[in-house]
Amino acid sequence: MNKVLQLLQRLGEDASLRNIATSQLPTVLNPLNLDSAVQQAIFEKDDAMLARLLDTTNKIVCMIFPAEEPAPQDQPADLPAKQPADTPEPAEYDIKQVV
Amino acid sequence: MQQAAGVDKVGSVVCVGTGMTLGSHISPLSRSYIEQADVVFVLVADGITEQWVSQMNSDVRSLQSYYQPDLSRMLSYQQMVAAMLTEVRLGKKVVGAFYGHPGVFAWVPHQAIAKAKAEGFAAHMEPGISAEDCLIADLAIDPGTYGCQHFETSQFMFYKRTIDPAAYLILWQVGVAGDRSLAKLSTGEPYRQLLLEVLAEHYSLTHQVILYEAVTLPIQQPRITRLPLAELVNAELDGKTTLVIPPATKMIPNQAILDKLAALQAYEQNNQQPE
Repeated sequence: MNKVLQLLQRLGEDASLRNIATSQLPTVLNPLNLDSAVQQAIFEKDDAMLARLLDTTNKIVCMIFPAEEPAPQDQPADLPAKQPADTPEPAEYDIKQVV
Repeated sequence: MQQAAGVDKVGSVVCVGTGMTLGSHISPLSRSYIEQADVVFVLVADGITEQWVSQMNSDVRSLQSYYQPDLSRMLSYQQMVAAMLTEVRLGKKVVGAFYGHPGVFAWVPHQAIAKAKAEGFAAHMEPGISAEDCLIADLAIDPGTYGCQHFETSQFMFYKRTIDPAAYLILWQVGVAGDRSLAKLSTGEPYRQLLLEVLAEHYSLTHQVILYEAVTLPIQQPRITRLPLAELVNAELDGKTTLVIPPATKMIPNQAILDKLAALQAYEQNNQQPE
């Protein structure tokens, strides 16, 4: 795995590094002999710069949900079935009985 | 190639969640599915995380390319599902790796699994740590305390919903509020004014709300911006921003039901059989 990705993974999964102070970062970064620009981006928490240095897209579309009413197959199975067109509307009396 | 018990065709699809934060949230099982797949389709919240997932398998394909400027996202989603199903039909073990939880506010994984199952292929979902999970932790709120309603922001605007201002209201994808074309990656002030119009029916414009963005890289801090509701119109929002509206009113006791419950309890106590 790429050394920078390895480092990010370590920062993400190691509890002792999860909220490491910037002043402590060199103890983790120095042994990896990373490019100085990469080190700078990590120091400055500049993810846009880091993305550029890794030659990757920083701006990504992360919306994967449509806004409109779900298609019929997405609806919950326990929705009440629609009444046939000729079913009379419930009388006010019936509604009061239910309440 | 794989044929699971109880299904009649070779080929499968598993949609896994990578969680929100690189390295922090992916489950051992989800990682194992990615590593053992014949082909992995990936859709995550940033390019670095995409690169990280790409190093877990020799055949990782980004779904980002299906988003095109001015193209309805619905069409993009359908193309993503089609791309995954094509590989399943070729008899491959397909994995869809989606950021957060693959089943929360995510149309593509649900559709890919439903279609694969309908065609007789093995298909299932593995959960992940969602943006909602991170929001609860970072904002230190418990949805059980006052209750919590979640809506996709545009859908919230398109339909008449019953809002309970005594509960939390969480609106996702607020950066594209009101977009009916599904082709915009952000909507501007006039759209937010209309959102405000809907919210103003239930909340004061001075009510303090929160804009939240979860951490995707472990070098970041979550975005937690507190502001009066009225300032939402000019706030900086993007695809990752979530609007959190804390309760604005007190819960009103349902006295009629409380009285009936008290009567029921008294009846039970009076009719207890002696031991």
